[in-house]
Amino acid sequence: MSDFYNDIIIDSSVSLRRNLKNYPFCEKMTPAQKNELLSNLMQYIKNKAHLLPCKFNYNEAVFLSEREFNFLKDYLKLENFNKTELSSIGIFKAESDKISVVINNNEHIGISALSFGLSLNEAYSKIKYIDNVICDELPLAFNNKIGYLFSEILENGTGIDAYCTMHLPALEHTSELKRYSESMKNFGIKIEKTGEFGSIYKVRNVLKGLVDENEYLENLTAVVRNLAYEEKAARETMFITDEIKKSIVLAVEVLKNSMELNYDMLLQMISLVKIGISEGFIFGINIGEIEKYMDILRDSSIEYSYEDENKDRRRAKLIKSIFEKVYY
Amino acid sequence: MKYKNENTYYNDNNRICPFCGTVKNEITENKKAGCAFCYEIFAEEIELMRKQKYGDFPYKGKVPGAMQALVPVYKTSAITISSLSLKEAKKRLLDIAVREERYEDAAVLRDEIRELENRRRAENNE
Repeated sequence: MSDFYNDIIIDSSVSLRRNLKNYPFCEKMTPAQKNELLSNLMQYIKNKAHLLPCKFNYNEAVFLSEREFNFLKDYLKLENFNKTELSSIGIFKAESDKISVVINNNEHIGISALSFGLSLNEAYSKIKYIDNVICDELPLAFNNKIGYLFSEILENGTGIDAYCTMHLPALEHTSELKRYSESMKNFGIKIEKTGEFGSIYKVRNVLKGLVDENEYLENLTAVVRNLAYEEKAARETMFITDEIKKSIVLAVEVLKNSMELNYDMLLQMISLVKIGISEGFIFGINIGEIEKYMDILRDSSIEYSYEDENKDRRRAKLIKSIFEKVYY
Repeated sequence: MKYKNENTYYNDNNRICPFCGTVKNEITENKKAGCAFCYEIFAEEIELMRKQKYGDFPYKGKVPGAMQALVPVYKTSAITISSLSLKEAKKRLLDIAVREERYEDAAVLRDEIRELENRRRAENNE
């Protein structure tokens, strides 16, 4: 995990996509083919389990309850799942790390890893190893001129996809983010907001066709570092007014004393608290701890762990105990 | 109806991948392939699309393990499918034609499959 501006860069996600050449791509497979591929790949990966860096648990998506599925999806930050089309999708989840291998969702094999902070290379090295173990002896859809092959003709190449999640309230507030986002489009960098609250953005490198995996990750790392510097500068020079400080203090009080707290409100309050910690006037908790707690405070995590509870009340109880020692 | 080569079914309206049934329109309009073999069947169209977007840049990324050069087209350690003969390809196209109610095309394919079977019987007798 990287400490570099971990008050601004929340996490890094890297994934690799692979297809086999002796099955149609996922969109064209019949249900029988999907079942056959799932069964074969599931057994094949289980046979390779002793070579993998950690222990994996296997679930077939269609047999998971809605609570279990939502929890897995949010915990691993799995993207592009169609909830109505879960048949013949298999998910291998690492027991003690945020690594997953998904079969039959958009591509035959998708390997993903999530790491805290700016740690794209760390996440990539984990999945590269798994890719070598699992995929190197399979008949992959691969062409020496084009690279790994996918249904989307213009997406062929390395099959890598990576993004960093960042907290950018100052740049958002000053509208600098919009200008930055427009200029970065020409370099294949996409900056998209996740949800309505919390000033959380995904910064993703969408230019996959022309460079190798290392260059792709280096480009994204450079952009994310720059953006982090800009956010830091914006916070220092323009952002921390007395009004903002009052809002931050109020946010701490809300979190310590609420009886019920929905997730959107939590995101807004936590966004302010993180700025306070970063600027040095909130104490008793650090940013890394907050990010770890955010994992258990999501709707899907609370529903998964506390079946019959009102989740907003449960969330407020959890936050109260977390923020007991926080002061300003 | 004409054949471009023995692995494709080609007519004046559509070229079809014999493995997944993708037609040329899906490639050129939706920019989507159905399988790895579409990249051979529709190689010209795909190369043109890629050149328009990316220019003439070669692939620079990871090449899968050394085993790739040795692994036959359809074989894996866990999954084995016998190689797709011309007759099997035509049978798949026949299934697709019937499903899509293209009965004239289906009739031509049925006759061609019969001809292949007759030819094989004649060769075996020799």
